[in-house]
Amino acid sequence: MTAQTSIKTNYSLGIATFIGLSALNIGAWFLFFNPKGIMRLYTPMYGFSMVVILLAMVITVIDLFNCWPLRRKADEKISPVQGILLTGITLFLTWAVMFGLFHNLIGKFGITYFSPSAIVATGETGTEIFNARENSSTALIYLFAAYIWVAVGWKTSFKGWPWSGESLATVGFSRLMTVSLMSVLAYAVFFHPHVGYLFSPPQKLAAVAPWWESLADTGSSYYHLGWVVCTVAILIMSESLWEGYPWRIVSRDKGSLPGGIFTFLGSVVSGFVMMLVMKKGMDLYWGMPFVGGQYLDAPYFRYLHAAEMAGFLILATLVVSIYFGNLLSGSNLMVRILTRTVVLVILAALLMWFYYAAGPLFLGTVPGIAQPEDTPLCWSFFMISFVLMHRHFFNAAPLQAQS
Amino acid sequence: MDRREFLKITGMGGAALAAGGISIGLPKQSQAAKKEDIGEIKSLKVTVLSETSWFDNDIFKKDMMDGGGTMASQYDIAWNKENSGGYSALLEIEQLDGSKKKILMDSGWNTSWMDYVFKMHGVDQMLKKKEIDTMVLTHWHLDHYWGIESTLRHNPNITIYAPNTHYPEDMKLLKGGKFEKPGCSNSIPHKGKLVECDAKNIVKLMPGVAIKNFDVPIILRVRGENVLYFNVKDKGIVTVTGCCHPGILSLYSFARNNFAKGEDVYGSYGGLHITLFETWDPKFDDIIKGLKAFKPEKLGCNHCTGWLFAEKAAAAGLPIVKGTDKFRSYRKVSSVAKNNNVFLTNGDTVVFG
Repeated sequence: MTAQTSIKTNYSLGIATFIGLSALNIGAWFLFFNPKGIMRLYTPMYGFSMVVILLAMVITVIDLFNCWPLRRKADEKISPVQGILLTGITLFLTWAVMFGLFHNLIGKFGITYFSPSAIVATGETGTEIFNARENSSTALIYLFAAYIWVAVGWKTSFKGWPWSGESLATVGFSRLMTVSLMSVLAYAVFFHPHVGYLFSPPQKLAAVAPWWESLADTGSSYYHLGWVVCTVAILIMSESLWEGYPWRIVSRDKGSLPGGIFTFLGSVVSGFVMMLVMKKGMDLYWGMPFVGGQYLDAPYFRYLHAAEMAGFLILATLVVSIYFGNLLSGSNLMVRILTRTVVLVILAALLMWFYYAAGPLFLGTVPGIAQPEDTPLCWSFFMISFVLMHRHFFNAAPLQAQS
Repeated sequence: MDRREFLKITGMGGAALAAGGISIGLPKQSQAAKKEDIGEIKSLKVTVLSETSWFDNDIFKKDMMDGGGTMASQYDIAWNKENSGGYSALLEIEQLDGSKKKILMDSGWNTSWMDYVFKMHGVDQMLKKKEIDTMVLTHWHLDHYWGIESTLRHNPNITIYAPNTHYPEDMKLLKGGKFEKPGCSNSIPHKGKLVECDAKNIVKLMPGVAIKNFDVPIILRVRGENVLYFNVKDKGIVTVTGCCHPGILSLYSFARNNFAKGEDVYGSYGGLHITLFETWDPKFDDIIKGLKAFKPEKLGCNHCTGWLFAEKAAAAGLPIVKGTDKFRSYRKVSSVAKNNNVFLTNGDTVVFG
């Protein structure tokens, strides 16, 4: 998910390219998700689940498989035709995973709540098709949020270890298996209890009651979504803007087991702290939330909003590293990191402002913050997917990428 | 870079992130330095004229999803008119001196249904005779507002207290307008006073009765909801809501922070906007837990509260007021109506005081 190669700096062209990509993104948003658009899939969970799975597939193709099978060697350049093919593969994977693997295979022959039609077939209270689709989508959002975290965490933490020197295919499939296993474990512990309690009666024999309720003042898994997305943001920022620090203190360039564990666990701790810092800021500004509060008063909203802000930080990080050429290449490390971080935060705030202020015009969203039927994560993840595909499938054209 | 340098950077970054994050959005309502005394009433009687805004959840939800989902404008959706009903309640207030005042809360959706409901309860005559000269519109949602013609037909000069957070389409309808796609119209322009309630001020309607607009974004591109607060002598605060989109605990919290004796919560009437479509979420368990902390004595809920929430809340020991079989005398009943009368429904009454 990171932009590990630099781009020759031409700020005007970089900004123009980003604006052009944003226009394309807003066009695609209008086609698929905009409530005033064509397909209107942002209901919100149904469309949001598509976006999360899309991002997960983008990361799978880029971070786990390094664009194999179209790229045979790690340093091979991707041609525009290959870029189009990779885009097609990613979109196909998104469709196949969501509708094939989950809605029609796992959902119908394994775990009911992954398939809207299987939920409806139970005939239980409230299981009409639209609720069922939203609930099934909620489960997919959580599962693939865990997958994104583990995939980015594994790649950034363990780098090539333990498959250095192996072919891209071997590394890709090995990483896929590892990441899938770990993300299923993470999902089971952090998210499945919430999904099990989305139904009436609660699925007590399949899922424990949300065990974090007394810690978080909510039974909602937004608590975990908060630190998970913050952790991903920390990983992306450290890899792209902080030149691998602080993990480089321990971790080697080619990766190692101790370095990997240090980075992986360290990023989780950092992500959790980041969520708490953000929540503290919100508590100071909006007052303390309370158990059972809704909108701004809801503890779960504060955690979700931390994730939403982290989503904008991820997007801003990618913009700084890809379209602004990572700003400074000279001077000392401290200055470089500070400058990039300041610009990153300003840019993230601007992107956030765009979403809330211009979103109703460009994205068809409802004005206001804490609207239960809207989360900026959907659009920021959609935009992040575009930026990553542009960078890795199309070499950030027309900018000139340098390895 | 050593560890100390790194810690310095991350500390500064964290502070900047927090500052960036909190710079967006509206500030919380400032808590009044001095609490407002809204006075007292002797009692409040609420008659449920209609709480069945629609009769079949599946049809309503399908219309909404086909029209673009929860964030689409209500005016851009082709609603199934046969499925529409409406939400409206009659509030009868007894002042400390024994005088009585009637207020109409909301005017429903389908005018044919609302005409029938108003006639059944004599509201049409009360409007004509000016026994009811005030309507509080809780919010601009279709099921609370689009039946406005049923009210204006009998009293076009009625004073309306409504949230100031309206859209041009809302005003067009009020002044006499028609929308083909969603299927709503009003042929009788409102000629009375429109009091637009803002989120900054509390409107004191009469001793013991106040309106507060909570400016929150609501599904179907609606903003803001007016909440009625009553202070019942020797009992405490009662909230009366259309849908309670801001959240019942936020309402109680507001009373506690802003009204004299606001910490004494007596109860609530109205929709609580929880298990609207009879589906659950762990955050609803949070609400039950939070409600128990406030120890209300009487919870008269219905409409978007959802039968499921009422059942679970009652099972958890909350004082949910049960309904009767009166709703069966109406010409149409909701598809989710249950025999256990889990909450107040059409034709039921509840008294606070």
